[in-house]
Amino acid sequence: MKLLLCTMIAILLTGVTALAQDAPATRPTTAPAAEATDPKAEKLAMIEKIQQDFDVPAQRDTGLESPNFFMPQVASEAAPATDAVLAYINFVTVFFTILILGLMFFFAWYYRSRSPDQPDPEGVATHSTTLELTWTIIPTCIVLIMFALGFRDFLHQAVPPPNAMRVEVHGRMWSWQFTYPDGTVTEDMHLPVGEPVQFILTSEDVIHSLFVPAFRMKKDVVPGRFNTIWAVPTVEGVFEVYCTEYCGTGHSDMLAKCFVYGEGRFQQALAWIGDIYTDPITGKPRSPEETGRALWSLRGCRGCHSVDGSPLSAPTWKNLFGAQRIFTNGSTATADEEYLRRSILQPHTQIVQGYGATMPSFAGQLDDRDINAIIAYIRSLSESQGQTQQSGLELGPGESQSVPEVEPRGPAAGQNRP
Amino acid sequence: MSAIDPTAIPHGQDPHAGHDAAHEHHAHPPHLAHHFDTPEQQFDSGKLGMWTFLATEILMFGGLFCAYAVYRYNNPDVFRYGEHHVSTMWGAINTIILLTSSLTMAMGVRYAQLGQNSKLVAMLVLTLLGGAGFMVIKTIEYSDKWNHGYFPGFLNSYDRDQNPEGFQKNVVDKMGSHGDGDHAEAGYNDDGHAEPSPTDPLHREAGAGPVEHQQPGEAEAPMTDPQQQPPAGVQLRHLGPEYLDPNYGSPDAAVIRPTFQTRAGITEQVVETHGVEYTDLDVRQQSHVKAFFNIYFMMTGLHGLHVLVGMGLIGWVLVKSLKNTFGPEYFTPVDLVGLYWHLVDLIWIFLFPLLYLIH
Amino acid sequence: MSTLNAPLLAGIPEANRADVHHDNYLTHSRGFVSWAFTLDHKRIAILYLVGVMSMFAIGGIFALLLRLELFTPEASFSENPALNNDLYNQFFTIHGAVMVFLFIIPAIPAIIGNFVLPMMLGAKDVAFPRLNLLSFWIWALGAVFFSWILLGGGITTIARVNMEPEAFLAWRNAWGWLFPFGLDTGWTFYTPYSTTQSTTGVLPATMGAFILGFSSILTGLNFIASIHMLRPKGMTWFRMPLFLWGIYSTAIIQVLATPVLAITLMLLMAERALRIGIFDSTLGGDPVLYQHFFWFYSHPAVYIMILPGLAVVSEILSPMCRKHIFGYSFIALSSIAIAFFSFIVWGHHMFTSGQSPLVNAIFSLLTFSVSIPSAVKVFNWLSTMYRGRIMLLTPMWYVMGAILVFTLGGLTGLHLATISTDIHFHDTYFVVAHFHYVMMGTTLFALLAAFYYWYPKMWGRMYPERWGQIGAIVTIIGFNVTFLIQFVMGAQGMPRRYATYETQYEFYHQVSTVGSWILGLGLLIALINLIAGRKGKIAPPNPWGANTLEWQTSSPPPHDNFKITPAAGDPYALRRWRFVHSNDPAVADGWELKPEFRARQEAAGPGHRVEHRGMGDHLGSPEKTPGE
Repeated sequence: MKLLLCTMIAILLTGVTALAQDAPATRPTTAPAAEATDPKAEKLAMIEKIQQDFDVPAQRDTGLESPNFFMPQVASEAAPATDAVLAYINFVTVFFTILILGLMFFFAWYYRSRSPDQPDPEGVATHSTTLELTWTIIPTCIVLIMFALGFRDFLHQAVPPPNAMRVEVHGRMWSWQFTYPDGTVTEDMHLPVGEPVQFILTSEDVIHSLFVPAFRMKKDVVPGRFNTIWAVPTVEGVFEVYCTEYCGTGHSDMLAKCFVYGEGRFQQALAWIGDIYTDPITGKPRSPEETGRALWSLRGCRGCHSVDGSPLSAPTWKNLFGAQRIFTNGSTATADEEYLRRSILQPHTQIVQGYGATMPSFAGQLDDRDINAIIAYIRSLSESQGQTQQSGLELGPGESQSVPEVEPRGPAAGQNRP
Repeated sequence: MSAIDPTAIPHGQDPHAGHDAAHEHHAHPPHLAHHFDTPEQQFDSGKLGMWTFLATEILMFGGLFCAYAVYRYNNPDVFRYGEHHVSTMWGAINTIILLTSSLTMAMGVRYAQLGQNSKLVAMLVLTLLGGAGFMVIKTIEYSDKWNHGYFPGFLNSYDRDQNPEGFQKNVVDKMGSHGDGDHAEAGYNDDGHAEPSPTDPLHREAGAGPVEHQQPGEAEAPMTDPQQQPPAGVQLRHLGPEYLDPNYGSPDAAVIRPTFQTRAGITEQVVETHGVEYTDLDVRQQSHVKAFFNIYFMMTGLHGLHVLVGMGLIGWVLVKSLKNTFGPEYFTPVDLVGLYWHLVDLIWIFLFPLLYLIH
Repeated sequence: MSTLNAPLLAGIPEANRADVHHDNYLTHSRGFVSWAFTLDHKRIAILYLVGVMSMFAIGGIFALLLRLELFTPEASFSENPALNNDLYNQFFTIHGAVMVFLFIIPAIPAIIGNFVLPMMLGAKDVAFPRLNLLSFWIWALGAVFFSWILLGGGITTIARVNMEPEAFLAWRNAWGWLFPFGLDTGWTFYTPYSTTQSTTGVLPATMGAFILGFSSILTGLNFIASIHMLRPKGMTWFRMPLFLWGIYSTAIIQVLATPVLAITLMLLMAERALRIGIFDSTLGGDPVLYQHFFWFYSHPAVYIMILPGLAVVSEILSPMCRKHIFGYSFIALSSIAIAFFSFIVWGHHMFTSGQSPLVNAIFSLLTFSVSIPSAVKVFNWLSTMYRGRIMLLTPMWYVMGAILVFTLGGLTGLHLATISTDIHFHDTYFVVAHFHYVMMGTTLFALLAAFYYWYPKMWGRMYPERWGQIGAIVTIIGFNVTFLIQFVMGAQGMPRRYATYETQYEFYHQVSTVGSWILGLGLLIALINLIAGRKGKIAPPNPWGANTLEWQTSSPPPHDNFKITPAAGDPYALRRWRFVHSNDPAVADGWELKPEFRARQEAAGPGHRVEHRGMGDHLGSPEKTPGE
């Protein structure tokens, strides 16, 4: 009993503290940074820009094309086929729902007992093999048809055409990275209309799942496996991309957009979006710091390196530049350009005490210009301590002064696991 | 139609009528619980319960065997070398000991049924000794592994994430001091990386699928581009390290990310043609092979736990039999503990070949 | 207080007419020890009742909190999105884990099964009473682990909110071992998140679930042995009450599936604590293997949750419709069929995980096989209602609620069994709605039906009927408002386990949240009603005119249930009973055995156990042992 009491109190406390968090004392005292660095606004501006410049229609009203009123819009070749299977299943299930529930409520009302003294019904059947066989065999046939339809549809979805464009999808906590055949790397999905695209899914940490409702397309992104899935977008527009396998704190922020471009505009858009050195909204060249920040977000640095001092699984970039580093082998160094460069290209040569050797080398992925941009960004985080830069998409206003997003996932945390 | 006559109550004179009522007035047999009617019913209940419990045990170990099979399928090299480091002799001796103790246990049950208490005690003592002997040998084996540094999991000081310092010391540092000659002989390039050999049967077998689907020229191209796309629909483990390792080709690739995921490049052919022994492997490969001991310790550890529990139960039965509790009327505990002991034996009979014999 | 009039007792053999108002199982002995260490299956059932329903309350509170958070698309627990998401993730994990491991799995078997099963067998107790008690205390130990996580989570959250990040980290390093940071893996503990990334109390949670598995195994084992060995004379396999068939099927699953969970969780713990690499792809393991292991248990576990619920429906429907159950043998065998099929369909949880298309196809086909016995059950229930005399009492309302949600949940299962549509619905709210309908809805309504139906037997009093019915209707409406709309939401693409979501789903979430309040209100009414029933009218031995053996002893039953074992006949021969009005206003109306059957009952004499030919028979009878 005491135990139960304790647990109840714990729950209450959890709830209360959650609410207490809204109290002004814990709120950031400074206003969020300027709109230009508000990630959500940035994203919206981006979408608007793409819609205008590349003539991508705005998201359509849901359900117009689907034969099933409650399904999202149909935007791939596979979607109408899936919806057709669904229509059959819906027909069957709605029919049986009405039949069963209708009969149940009708019987309950029609055969209701008027008085407890009423005699029990006599001479009613308690058994009928004919009936039993009927309602065994008919549903069996129905579900076999269902299976066959679903399987045929699934086989089509499982075998990609040989000429499909191959896009690498890299899932990580908590962002997507799409790599196109020409080497362009983007955070959102950009696809040409009417062409088959094959996605090759890899994960570097935990299981994620790539879900595009409008394509009826979903596949888990499993570490240690290459899963593939393919689709042919049929409608130009902007669609949602979700992660549907629970992956931790930022699971519900692991979102992306899928832009489907009309004839000829895809390459153009890809070139534009892939140009990391130009601000996509204003069209002006980015400063090295801005480029560095874009790379931090795009290349997944932000999964482990915070820019606001919050402890993640790797050292934060805030005030990193110029700081003294102590390594696992006892040696020390000052974090200067040379050190940062080496850490990006050969991260395992010197490991900072308290952290694991988990960072992959970026040799071959980032050229000198990119590395210099990142170093410039890291440097800017130290020089301007007063105005902390806003972090990436999943971090809202106030994050910079808040409690840590997660505990360090490195060895320091590991040893204290309960 | 009314298939079941609702009024049907079995009637007619029961030859044992009043039997239950009699129970209330006459003393129960001494070991009969109040909710059972007869000792037979009680015995059968106990036996059914025990068999059901044994079914759960078998399913539990079944899960472990499944894990073994999958891990072995994914990492054949781990087992190829791992099995060199268990002592088949000790395992065989243990098998004989456990089988013998099963025999003595079965004889114990027999003597309990016949009411020959002194023989029952003797058999139980022998069985207990068998169990103890098994555990002693297990301890010898474990300490041998331990002394060689074959620990389970992160205690293995080569694990990069859990023990970076050990990794640094044992892998990174030693890799630098390794002579190139060793690697070249074993089929490794200077980075300690597996050199995919076209004549290598295992590699070819596993790689056959992807290669067929590749565009001409793609397979031959050196896979130094980390963004190189893998062939469609292929699971990671079927690919060479170049697909797995994002740092492949970079100067410190081999050191940075040992390809734990894939075979360490140690194949049957390499072993046979070059006579590579465990000691010839570089440290990273050795650490990979140590994954065998994760499975080994899990399986034998859980089994050892069962042996200990079984010994406890036998001890309990022994104490009871010293008080002369058992006889033809009542020997359920001896029988049930015997069943359990046979199961423990049976599991070992599967563990022994899986961990010691199959290569 | 011998207010029971003679006719009401007429169904009970003379020897079994205990003066229960002076000596029943509730008053048999007093004091904490007499309850905590009781071997009486009825008292153990009450212990489970208190424990399991407390856990239900905890899980329910977390469910309400979750729905509250989802009322708006933004983060509503906290301004800080990371804190908000972490709280949300922990809440849905706690909700799921507590509800599944501590509530639904033990709910009907451990509470209702323990109370009713031996009495249905005309037995004095289950086959292994000590094991039964052990099973409860193992359950309690498992509950302690989850409570530890709750407590640790609460305290750590307070620390997190009130401390500077650095101080908080230092505090975690110092005290993290004592206060696990809640649990945020989802109740499925998927690797590698649970083994490498989560900083929460995965080890205590898996340890708790591991321990609870033993409780489940021992309960199932006990029931199997009881049903095999303790059936009275006249109760052949096909004269067993359908509740026992359901419990038997459940027990088989409990015994055969739970050990696989045990080894899975053991490997998971070893993986997290020692990094042994079975499930970790960076160490050569396979995360999907964990899913296979987990669902090899957890899919059958779904039927551990549902089958007892369906069994309760089958059991209660007949007396409530005053009609012999229709298609007895088909309902009985369909339980066994569901238990069998439950073991071969687990792969449908991994249609999108990247397993081979052939495997997907096989599992899809096999999954449909479950729908057939389920459909057979539903149609048989409808046929039982047809031309019955349906008494629309509280248990019947809940039974109809259970049939309603089981039908909806079962039919939407077809969407998920078909591969191509499942790919769209997988891990969306469609799945959430589906499993709440089949698992939670069916089981909860069946459990409430069982509470009301066996209430007079359990407590010797009648519950207030009118408020019982109101509670039932509010609960059923609340449930459907909460979850029906989630099908639409999921089909639209709303992924599950999202703390924040896009505004297009806001309307659905708000409806669902309002529904959860209605559901909570209904359950509150039911709770108050059940507590108020302790002051209700005195219950007759057989208030429903049912013919199963538990109604042939007093209400509440004496310590030993039956002095002599009653003879069993057709459990649904309701025509043997007739309604009688009570001649005392303090005593509720009941049913008496018709005189013509009374004579036969007496003539039949006490029933004996069925002659068993056990598997160890030649050893069990030493006189038959060769060599003697």
